[in-house]
Amino acid sequence: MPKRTDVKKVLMIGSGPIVIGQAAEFDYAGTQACRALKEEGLEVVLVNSNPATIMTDKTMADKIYIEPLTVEVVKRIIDIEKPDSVLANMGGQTGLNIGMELSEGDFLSSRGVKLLGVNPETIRKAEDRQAFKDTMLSIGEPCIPSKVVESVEDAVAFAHEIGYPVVVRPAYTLGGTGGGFVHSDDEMREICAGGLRASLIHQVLIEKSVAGWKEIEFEVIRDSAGNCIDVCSMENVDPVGVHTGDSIVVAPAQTMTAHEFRMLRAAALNIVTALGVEGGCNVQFALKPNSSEYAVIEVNPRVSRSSALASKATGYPIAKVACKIAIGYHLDEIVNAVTGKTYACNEPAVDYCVIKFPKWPFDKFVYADRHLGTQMKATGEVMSIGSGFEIAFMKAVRSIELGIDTPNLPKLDACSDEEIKEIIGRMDDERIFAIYAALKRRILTADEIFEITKIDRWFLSKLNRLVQMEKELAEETLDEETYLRAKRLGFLDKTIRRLSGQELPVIRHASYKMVDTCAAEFDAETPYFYSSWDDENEAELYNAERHTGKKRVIVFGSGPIRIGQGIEFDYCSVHCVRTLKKLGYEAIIANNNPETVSTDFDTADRLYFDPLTPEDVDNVLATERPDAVVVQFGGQTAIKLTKHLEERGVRILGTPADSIDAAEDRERFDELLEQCGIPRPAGDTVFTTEEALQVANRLQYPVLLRPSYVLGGQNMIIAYDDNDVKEYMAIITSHELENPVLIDKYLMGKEVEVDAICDGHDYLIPGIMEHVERAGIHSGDSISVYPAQTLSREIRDTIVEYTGRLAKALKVVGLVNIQYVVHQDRVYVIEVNPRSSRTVPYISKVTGIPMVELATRCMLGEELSSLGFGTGLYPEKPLVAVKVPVFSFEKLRDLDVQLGPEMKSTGEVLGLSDTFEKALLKGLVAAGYKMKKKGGVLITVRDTDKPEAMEIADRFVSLGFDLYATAGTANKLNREMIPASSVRKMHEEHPNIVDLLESGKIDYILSTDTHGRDPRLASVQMRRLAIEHAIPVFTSVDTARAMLRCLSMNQTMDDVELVDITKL
Amino acid sequence: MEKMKTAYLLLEDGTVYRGYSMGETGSAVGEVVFNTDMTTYQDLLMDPTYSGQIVVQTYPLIGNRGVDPVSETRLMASGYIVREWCVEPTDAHEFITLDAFLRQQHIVGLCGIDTRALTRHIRNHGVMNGVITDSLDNRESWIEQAKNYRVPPAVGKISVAAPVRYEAENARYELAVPDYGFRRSLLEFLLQRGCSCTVYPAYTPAQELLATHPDGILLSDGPGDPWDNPEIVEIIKTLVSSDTPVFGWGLGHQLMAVAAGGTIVKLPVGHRGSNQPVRDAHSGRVMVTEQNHGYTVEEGSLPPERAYAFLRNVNDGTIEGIRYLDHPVFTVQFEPSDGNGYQDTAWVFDEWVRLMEEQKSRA
Repeated sequence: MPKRTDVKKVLMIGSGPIVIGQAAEFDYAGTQACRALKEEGLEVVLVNSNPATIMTDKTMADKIYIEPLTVEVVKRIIDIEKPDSVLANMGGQTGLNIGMELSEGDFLSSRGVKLLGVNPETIRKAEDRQAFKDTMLSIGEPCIPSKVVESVEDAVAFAHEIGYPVVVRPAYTLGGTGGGFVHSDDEMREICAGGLRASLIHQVLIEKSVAGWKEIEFEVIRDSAGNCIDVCSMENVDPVGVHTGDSIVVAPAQTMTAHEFRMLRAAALNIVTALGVEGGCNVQFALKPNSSEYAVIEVNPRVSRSSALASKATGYPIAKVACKIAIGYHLDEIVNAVTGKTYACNEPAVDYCVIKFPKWPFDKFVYADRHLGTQMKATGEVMSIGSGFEIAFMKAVRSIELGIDTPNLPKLDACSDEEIKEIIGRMDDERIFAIYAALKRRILTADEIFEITKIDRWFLSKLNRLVQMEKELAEETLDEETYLRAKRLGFLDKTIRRLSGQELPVIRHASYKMVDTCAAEFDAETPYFYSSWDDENEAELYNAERHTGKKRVIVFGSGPIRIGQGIEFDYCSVHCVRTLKKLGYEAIIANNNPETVSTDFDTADRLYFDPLTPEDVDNVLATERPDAVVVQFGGQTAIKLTKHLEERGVRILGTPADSIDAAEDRERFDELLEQCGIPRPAGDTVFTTEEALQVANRLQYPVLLRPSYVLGGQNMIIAYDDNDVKEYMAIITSHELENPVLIDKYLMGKEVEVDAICDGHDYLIPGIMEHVERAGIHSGDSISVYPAQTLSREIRDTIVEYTGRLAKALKVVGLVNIQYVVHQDRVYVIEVNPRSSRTVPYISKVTGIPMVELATRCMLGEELSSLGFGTGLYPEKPLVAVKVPVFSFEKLRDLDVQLGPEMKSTGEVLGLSDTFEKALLKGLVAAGYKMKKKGGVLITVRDTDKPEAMEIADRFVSLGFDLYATAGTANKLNREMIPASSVRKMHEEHPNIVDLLESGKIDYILSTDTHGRDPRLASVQMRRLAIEHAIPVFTSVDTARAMLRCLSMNQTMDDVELVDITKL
Repeated sequence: MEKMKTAYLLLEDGTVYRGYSMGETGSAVGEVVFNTDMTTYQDLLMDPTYSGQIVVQTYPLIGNRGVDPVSETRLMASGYIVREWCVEPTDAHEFITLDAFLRQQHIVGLCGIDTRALTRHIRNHGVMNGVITDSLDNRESWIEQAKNYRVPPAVGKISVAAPVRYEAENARYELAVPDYGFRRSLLEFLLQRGCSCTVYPAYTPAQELLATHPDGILLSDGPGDPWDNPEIVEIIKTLVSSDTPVFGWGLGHQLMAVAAGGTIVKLPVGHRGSNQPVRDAHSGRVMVTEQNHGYTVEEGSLPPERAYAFLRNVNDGTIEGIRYLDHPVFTVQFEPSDGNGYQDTAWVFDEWVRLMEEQKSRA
């Protein structure tokens, strides 16, 4: 059937802020979907609260609402825009849930609006546990023994019936929030209670554990005619028990027999057909090793993280095809854009091995519980492609930015054999490396490791092959044949030299193979490459055949998404590529993140999907011989390449490499500030604990400690006394200290941030942003307001003036991000980053200045003054934009939620309105705050915050809230005549604070602390408990004050006007 | 796998791929074809339709679960090429390695070459002959041999010597199946549908088959060049004229078309894999099919009053299924299946049964 004629205007629902379990993959899917709809000539209206996305860019849709993703807001947009259809299967679980809520009642039907891509009956059958089980039984597909329960007692009873261990899975949640493995009644009581709270419908599934079975996934796509194909099979290296988002995944599946493969493929198609899915669908199976016994684990009838991975792994654009299906097309009517010759009904055939490796936040959150289970914890992932498993694995390991180029994790060197065995016995992020260490040390055989981990022997044998290659390199003469064998297993030249201690017998560069969906059966048109060590270089052939004569520029991407380096850098990379193409250059992307738009097959003129280490980059350079490269949009990942690229003699567009060093090297930076006459907080550099204590006492507490060369405030703390310094230095010196630690006087002032575009002479500041929280909280975790609301004209002028001076002194060409603190009416510089920043996407959207495009033009030699936006500070827009951070605390056990200089948020939302309060209200609602206007507030603050806490408390009381406080704070409140009930601390006798939190009486908590981090501390435990109970916790009085401003306002979300940003 | 003997693939156009020996050492000449299936290797090695060919697996990691060391074998591919075979298969206790299996079956193999480059070469230049050899000493003579090579007629060699009967439980239909060389697994799906099948030698005269009064005749798949079978075409003509329902797939489909006046042409690279999309013009439905053929019925070669193509390959538009107007005949090009995950084409068997039922009730 061709395109539906009754679809002309579509409202697409995005997925909202990046949280663990729902990340950049939905920007990728949504962006692809927007383009798919637009190329059909449809009018597209978009709603998404996440301003860092590419999909919310003016070019992507006709109308764009950056508004809270609630069903009320979506209904209002429907009434304003009057679309004829709503597309809800591109926005992850968030979009799907809204779609489901919309489908209830007669709202849509009364307005003649169709729901596309989502059949409520399909969703119910797929997501309601009992309905799913019944459907599976009706078609003879085996499920795992399970029962839906709505109370802890029923859960315990059922567990006794089927026996422990069991798995608890909440219904209707994101990324398995709140579930877990349970081995005893006690555990059941804890985890089941959490699961019930996390479930939108207060249901959990109690299920027999099939831990140790293989976990196999199929990505299936089906059209309205019932045509159905399997796009890709995937196998989790870690057996059932670890969330697929936290598993190392290989595609296609490797260890199944043809019989098993076909059996599960057929089951997947049967299931999707029985559910009536129209679009993409993910089906997960547990397969008992060496048997034909399997069980369906779950089904996700929408695009997902797995579908993004399957798309990148095969070249088959699932989101695009799903979108075309939603508007009526059948699979045999959709041309495969990669080959240009085949159709979407051609099941992809691949001729390589793909590995996905998760990126976990534990390198930053050293105190978080790193155990892996059914709750996903990874913030991002990398993908690697190779002709074999070994090379793909080696590529993955050097892409995840742990600073390693083989599976040898330096940290494990210090572990005894017993400790290595112990790590293998538990499931955490380091297990795979411990396995490698065990094979290398011959502590355990592959069979023994299999018995412990149930990781298929095939994978273990491949790891063993790498171990043997290492040994061979170390012990034997390095001849050309051995060298080539090592290269084909994925060893870098650098590694081969290091292991063998010998010079290389030959110098070779990688050749490139194409990802084409069809294993070379057809001549593909889309240039998507990965490196291999064969003779035929398809990238070179491709370039030779299509010589355009255009100048070539390589844009280096930002790698895996992690805390501090998120989707915003992908936004910048993509915009740089688009600008380069527009200006007549050939734009080439090198990146390794499968979730992103930058790695979509048709974003750049060519895509190199490979690691971003110097040597991998050299190989791309050898094939492409670019005229120039760009590093400033790919976050720290790309910036790190600067020095190397400069040594290679490659032309780096924009800010010179030396300036990047000048901004990061403490001494040079101090010198520069001196020259410019710009003050900064007093400080010094140290290498040892003794030096640190000395400097800290000289500066006087509180002081800020951080390693030089940081991103996202990695390993940064505020120390209030000697103990803090000692604790910090102990952690930081446990790694090898290449660069010194910086200690600065901590000024608790107003924090201000600017991004500027510079051409070497002139600069343009799109806007000044002011943080709600005073300095000390990482800028990524602060509520940020554009335009600045409380700065005097003098201060603003000073900031503009300093920005200009710094840009010039640093010879910035392109973007620069500068953070200031205003303390006692004086402006200090805290940090200068001569690169793109987190705030670029939102400021671009709010001010209408295409910042990345202007920066790219400047880098190519154009003058700011001729680009049409003027220079200096751009006139303020008559609106207020409030960026509110979003955290994934409920997913990371033991992580202290207290905010500080180390970034903790995973994403952000934006609120836009004509006043600060209304914009903030939108931002808070979008970030998930329920904005309760009555109830209880618990206050427990450090001494220095007590005076301000009194004022906060008073205002809560005047709004009608009941106050609770721990003894010290309560005394103080009562003395100030503020009524507050005193509550006992956690370790004191019951009833205490734990009972209070569990009672449901508390709706907000203000908790500030001089200490934090260590999960053994009672205050950290109290805040964790609050998170488990979904109670908002403010860890800064400034955040609480901002919340109060919203609560005191007489307006609710319903009263605030919705804004189409294309009309700004 | 590390210290293996060097071996080569030498194509008739002089292109050389250097790799390592696998399986039987020595030399093998054949038509070089590629298959894009990612998990099937044992069934492929046992498939008689590959006789005379050197099969290249486009998926690079083969034999991960090992190979079932079957004792009884039939004529198979003359050579086998993979990028990497698995030295330590998962089921090492039950199965043997691919290398060991090839040695056991005396099939010459080659590994460690850039199979993607080879596939691209075949795709760009068309299917051609080649030789796997462990020495390039007699390069010119090998090229000459490759150039002169023709896939030998094999139907006569692999067909059963005497009729073999497969009895269905609750049999309702009798099918006669002349054996041109096909995978027996397909009969399962007919037996399940109440069709008892008798497999006959390929050259069994039409009268002899018809004398058994079968409810249907199934023309099987088989290896080689379809033009090598003029005698069979004559037999088919007689079979069809009896108005007994005639079905066929693969080679059987092609020979039926020739019997009806059509012609067969060679495809540039053929269809070999399990992901070939086929569209039914009536229903608009698309099915994913398993295919393994190098020839096709030529477009427009069948008289329109006698037959029409109702199934076509979605990618290249070639004919995948034909219905005949003057007789109850219906054939498909692909390998229909009703098990192991390929249920997309199970309807073919139902359709055959329906035609037999229709003919029966008419009688």
